[in-house]
Amino acid sequence: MEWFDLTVKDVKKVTKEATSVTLSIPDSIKNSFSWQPGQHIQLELTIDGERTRRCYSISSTWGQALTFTVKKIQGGKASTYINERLKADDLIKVTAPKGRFTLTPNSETRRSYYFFAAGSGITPIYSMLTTLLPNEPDSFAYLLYSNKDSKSTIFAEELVHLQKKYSDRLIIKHCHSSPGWFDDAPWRKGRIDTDAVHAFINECPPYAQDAQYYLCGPGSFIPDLKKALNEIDVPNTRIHMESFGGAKTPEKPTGDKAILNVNFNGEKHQIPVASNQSLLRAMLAEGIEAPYSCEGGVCGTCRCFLTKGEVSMQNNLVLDETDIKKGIILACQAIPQSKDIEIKYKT
Amino acid sequence: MLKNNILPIEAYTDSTWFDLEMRHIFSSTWAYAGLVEDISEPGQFKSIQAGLNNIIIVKGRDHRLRAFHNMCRLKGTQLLRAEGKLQKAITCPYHDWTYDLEGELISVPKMDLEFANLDKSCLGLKQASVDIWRGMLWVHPEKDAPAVTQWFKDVEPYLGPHQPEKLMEAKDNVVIEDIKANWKIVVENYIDHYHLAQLHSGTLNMYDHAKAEFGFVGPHFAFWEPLDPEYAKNLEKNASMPLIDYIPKEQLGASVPMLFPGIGLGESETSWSVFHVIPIAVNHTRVEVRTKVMPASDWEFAKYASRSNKFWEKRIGPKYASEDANHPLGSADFMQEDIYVCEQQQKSYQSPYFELGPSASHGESPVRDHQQVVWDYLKPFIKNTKEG
Repeated sequence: MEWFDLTVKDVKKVTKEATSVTLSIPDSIKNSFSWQPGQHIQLELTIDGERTRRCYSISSTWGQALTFTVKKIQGGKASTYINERLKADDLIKVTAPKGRFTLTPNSETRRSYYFFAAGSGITPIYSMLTTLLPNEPDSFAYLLYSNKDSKSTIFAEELVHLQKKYSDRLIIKHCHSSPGWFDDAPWRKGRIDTDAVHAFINECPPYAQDAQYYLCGPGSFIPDLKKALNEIDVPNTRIHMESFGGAKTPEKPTGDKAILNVNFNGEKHQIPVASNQSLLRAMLAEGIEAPYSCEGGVCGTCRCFLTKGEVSMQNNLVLDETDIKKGIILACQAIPQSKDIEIKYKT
Repeated sequence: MLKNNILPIEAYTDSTWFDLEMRHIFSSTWAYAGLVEDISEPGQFKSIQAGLNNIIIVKGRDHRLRAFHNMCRLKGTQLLRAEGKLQKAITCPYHDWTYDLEGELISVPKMDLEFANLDKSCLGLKQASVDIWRGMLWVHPEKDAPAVTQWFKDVEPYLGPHQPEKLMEAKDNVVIEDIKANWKIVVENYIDHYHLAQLHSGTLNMYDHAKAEFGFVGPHFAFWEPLDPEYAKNLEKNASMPLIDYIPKEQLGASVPMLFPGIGLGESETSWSVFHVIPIAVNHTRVEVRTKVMPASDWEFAKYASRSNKFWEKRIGPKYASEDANHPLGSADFMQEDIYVCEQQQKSYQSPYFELGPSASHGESPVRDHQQVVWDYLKPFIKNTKEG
């Protein structure tokens, strides 16, 4: 993975607890930094002498300066640092944008896009929305967005403007888990759950019939919503997902200590895997820069082929039966179930 | 001398032409499939004959429409008939092969016994495309058809400001006419400007034909004409039905486009209708007309009708008062007048003594242009036929 030292161009508070950071991209590396709405960058911060890496989604509109938005998480080292200490002209280490959770507009396409976001899950979706609406004039967008209250809602004002500007093609509804006394009433009280998803689609059925569904939020948000969509006949091929920080991981299957043989970028490695360690974590610990992104079993960036041995996956929202039959696994979720494991990556 | 001779007469009388049109025009373009409200509930379906293809549209519980070719993958048996409601699956009546709402084959009776190594995943229903545009359902036989909005992009700016979704369908008012004429004769009559002031002198005189603006935009025809000044002067009182209340004053009139192939719209100050031309045989065409009006009470409609009665009594009359009211030319009904001339024209085209007359340079220009569109579609497939 290549790291670039980039200068922070601007730091701007968007809510009391969230900050948008804009980076200067020198012309010499512009090509590496071309991106699609929905993609993210990885940051390496050295905070009080300790190195920390985090992924953040790009929140800006296609073609504008690269901006990412970070919500402060209680006890979150990186998010607190970015919200409280990062300032313009600071130098930070960044990777080139990547990720499979993308939306590339096409002026001749006509679709209905459903977006479901919780909290800072809005950041890639905001980039998608603001890029989509001007660039795909025949398409429609439907956003269901969940927050604690209106004050903590990232991009609240921007979304109001967007809705006014595209009133004939954009519907936005808010869910507030604890609405403030003086807030305008949200569309629905509580978090986005199965009932909310079903009610939203019943109330706002797709106008264009090529409907696509984008989910972004923390923890069980993704599996819960995916299930809610499946229940009303939405096929997986139309669901796109990105999991966000603060994931409550399901019970880890107990695993064995194992030896992993991996062929990566033409180099053969043999490394140890601790019991209950994921193959991905074992590789990263040994300095093998295997691809990954969400580490939640959602994005599919870490997919590879299991050619020997057995693993179990704690969370898999990407691979279907056919993939698994072919031996495809998610390295971030795979815990060894036998002593001798071998994987390979498609090059 | 101009003639309507871009197409040969055989194009109207020879079934070889008809077969080619069915294959290369009606089976390869976006086809009108009804109004959105035809499928309003999850589980509802509708089957549509679009050229050679029978396509089913089904609504899932996600309110998204799916479209499939209505053929079981075992022997091609039609899966669903007409309209109805289903639960979670589509089952073929012949051998009970069952598909889910994504068209995936999910169950085959006696599968292990009868079919060695059957890969169900390769035997899903053939997908088609479906979309909604201007309150109408549209289907296309291709799975990845270009967007319906692209197909109509160039003509859309010339259509009326009507919002069909906000109008309601007039009760029991579907008109179905079987016409003994080729579909192109019916279309040419619809877009011919020259006859309006003559054939329909007593029936379509609420519009100012002399001020009509029209022409082809790609394969589609656009037409607009303003209200007749005398009718417009006291419009609220003269209108026979409640006026569509959001049409800007300067746009009051009739927009009468003919979308290709054979989907006419009639967008007026009081109503919106679809005139669907369905080719049945080379000399047989079915027309289905559905009309929508302002949502208003029966009482409101009665009020407009009685208030305007006097005005219309004086204005509307048959082409020939001497004819019996049962005769099209005595009917004072413009559709009957049109059907009459279309059928007469078809008869003459079959006569060995028929010879094309001159073509009106302005008023009949749409006829020649439509012939050109059809010719452009069929040219690669016509052999040994003289061009123009």
